Amino acid sequence: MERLILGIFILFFGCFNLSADLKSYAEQSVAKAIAEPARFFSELRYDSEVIFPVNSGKKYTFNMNFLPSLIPFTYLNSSFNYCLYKEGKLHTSLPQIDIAGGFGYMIGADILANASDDVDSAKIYGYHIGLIFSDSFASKTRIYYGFKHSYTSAKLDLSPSKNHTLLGVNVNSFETQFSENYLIFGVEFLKDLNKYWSINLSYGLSNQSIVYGVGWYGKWFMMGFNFYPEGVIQIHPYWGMRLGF
Amino acid sequence: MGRKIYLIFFIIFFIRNFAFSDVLVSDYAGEVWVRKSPLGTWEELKDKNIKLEDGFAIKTGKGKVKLAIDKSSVWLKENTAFEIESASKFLNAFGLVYGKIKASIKGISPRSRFSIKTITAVCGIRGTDIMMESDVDGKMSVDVLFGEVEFTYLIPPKEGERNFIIPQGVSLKIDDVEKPYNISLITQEKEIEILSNWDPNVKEEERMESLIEKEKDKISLKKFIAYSNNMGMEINNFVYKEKEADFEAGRTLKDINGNTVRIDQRLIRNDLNTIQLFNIIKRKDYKSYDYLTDYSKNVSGFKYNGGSLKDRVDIFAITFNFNKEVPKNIGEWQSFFDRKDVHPEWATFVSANLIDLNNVFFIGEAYKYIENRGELINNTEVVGVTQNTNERDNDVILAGKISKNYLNDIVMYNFSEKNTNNPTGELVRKSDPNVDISGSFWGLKVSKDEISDKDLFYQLNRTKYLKGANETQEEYFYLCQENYLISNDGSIRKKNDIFSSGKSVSDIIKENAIQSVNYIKKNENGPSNEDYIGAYNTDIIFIGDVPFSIFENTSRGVDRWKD
Repeated sequence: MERLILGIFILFFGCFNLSADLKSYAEQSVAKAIAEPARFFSELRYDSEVIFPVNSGKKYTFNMNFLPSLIPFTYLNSSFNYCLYKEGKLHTSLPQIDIAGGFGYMIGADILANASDDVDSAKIYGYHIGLIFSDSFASKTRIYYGFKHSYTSAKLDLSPSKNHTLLGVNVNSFETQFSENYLIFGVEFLKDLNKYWSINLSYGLSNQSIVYGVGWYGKWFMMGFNFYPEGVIQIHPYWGMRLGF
Repeated sequence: MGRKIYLIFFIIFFIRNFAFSDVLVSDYAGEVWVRKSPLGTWEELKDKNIKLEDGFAIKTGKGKVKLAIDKSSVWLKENTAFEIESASKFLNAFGLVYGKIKASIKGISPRSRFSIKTITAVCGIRGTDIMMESDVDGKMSVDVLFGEVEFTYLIPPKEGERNFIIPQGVSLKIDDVEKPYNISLITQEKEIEILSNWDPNVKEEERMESLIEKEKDKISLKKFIAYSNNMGMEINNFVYKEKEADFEAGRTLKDINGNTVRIDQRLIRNDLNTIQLFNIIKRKDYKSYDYLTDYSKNVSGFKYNGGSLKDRVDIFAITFNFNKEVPKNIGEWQSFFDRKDVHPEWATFVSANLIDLNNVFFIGEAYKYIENRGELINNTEVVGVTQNTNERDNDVILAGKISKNYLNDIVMYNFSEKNTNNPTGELVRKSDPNVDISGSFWGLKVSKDEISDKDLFYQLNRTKYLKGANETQEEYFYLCQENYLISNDGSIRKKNDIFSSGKSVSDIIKENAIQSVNYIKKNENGPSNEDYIGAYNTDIIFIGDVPFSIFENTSRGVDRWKD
């Protein structure tokens, strides 16, 4: 397991010439990741969970995170935000209602498990589903809020050739999960034609965790930063595709 | 007959209320004219609340009009002509011949359509607030404040799409029908114009009143954004405090014997170079038992002879002393432990039963850093006795029944063998060899046997020790230790409870504990049920909360000394 996580970190940090501080930071991150693997993998996948409301004039958005979920963390991921109801259509006080959902499957876990002597196989995957409500505060400003359930599972089958014991009990597999229910608050600004920026804050009810994000998105792509103050890697820059139809 | 009349009335009522929309002149001011058919003549409007039927038109000179269409409203500015093509629940089609209007569209059913046509295009309004301007040359503009507009050219343009959506916050302008349209963000001036009050009889100074309220809301929003931008710092401060608190934990649970146990655990700094994980285990009532569980029942060495007790307190202390000062900031520990010039000097693991402060029963292990080996070692050198080359780092145990005053000497590694040349197994203070730590002794491991299960988390260890590692005096004793992984209600955990629980590691940590009960027993060709130094045990409940936090912060660094 440790090697698996180390492998992921090497992929992420290995391409940089690490300074002493960054190396120390990376090592501390590895320690946290080993201690709570499902939470760690959940954070890696979180960036692919798009919570921006569907743009005015669009019915749905299709999203895929390239960095860091797909590269380097090898999460095959996609998410979909569908507008169930357009703001003000039936009643002015009714906000826009979007349903959001998506999945991620880490293909690198299988590869790295093969390279590890301790782990026979590894399956790491997760999904999210949520409802996002958005209200126009002004013509170019929308406030959004909602709820999201996020789930990640990490199942490891340990190598039968190695003897792992705890209080005399043989350990041959380990399954750990991490689920969180987030309350989401955010503001979206239209800065130019098809160009938005947004800030949001998510509060995890189950683990009292906080994530806040700043994002920019346009006709094709989205980019930004997610901050995880209590996370393994505290700042996640991200870049991905976000297509509106 | 009666039924038919009811049916006719019902149909009329349905059509009247659910099929048609009323277009009413709800207010007007100044010069306004109405035309009742496309070929009719313009008549001056003299009364409000008149209904405009399909085919009607209304125009303003130096005047203004407000039309009410069910829950929606359309305002006409000066010099504007507006036609009613169709007004029904399912299709509201109007024409803006020239001039400027504002439309606030509300309460349209999902299948209905609300459109306003100009000479150039049809605008399908999907709620809620827009402003439109048009003239007879085909010039036009659409400003979408809220909602969206489906824009369709009446004649396909030479370039670009014929049909597209104008989203919220965007303006479309056509200056020349032969040229492509211009699209831009709605300007602040236009936004203010749309948001102002367009009612015909409102005084000019009152038109902006609603905007003042909006401005107040904007200030609130700006404050929220400013707060969000500063939130990084706020949260980091909060998290730092939380991290400090992560190194304190408390839990109340039931042990295997059904006793209610309160465990307090914290990481403390004894001095600049020493950190200690300190656990206090308190029980109001300690029930008597012969054998703790069915698994240790009748296994020689595990009989408890101490009877029931009141207000029992046990402690378990893990202490590490380093060759350098440990940083005060926990965030720096990872890099500190990873430094090659940093290593522990010694470590102790001590459990003690504090029921009688004059006779504190304790069991401990100590480790010493061997410079040339670069690792922590538990062998006779921890008590200052040179290791026999045949011993191969056999463990040394410390135990005894001592005054509470000496307990700190054991915990802080202030002890050594009384006679290092001819060891007796008795301990004295290392800092003052003239002071005996009365009642304490040490032994060297000779052999060990273990009983465990494949599925259930329990382990019975019986380890034989030679007192003072002195083969000439041949005094042996046993450490009998029963360890269980238990839930917070005191039941022994199974393999699947942990590894297939589908829970996060932190949840598993919070829901489980290790109970370790230790006895020092006599040797009678094996472990006896008789106690070696009195009817005592140490009964430790160890929770993983603080160690988990420590592991999260330091595991990579301490990995170097794990051997």
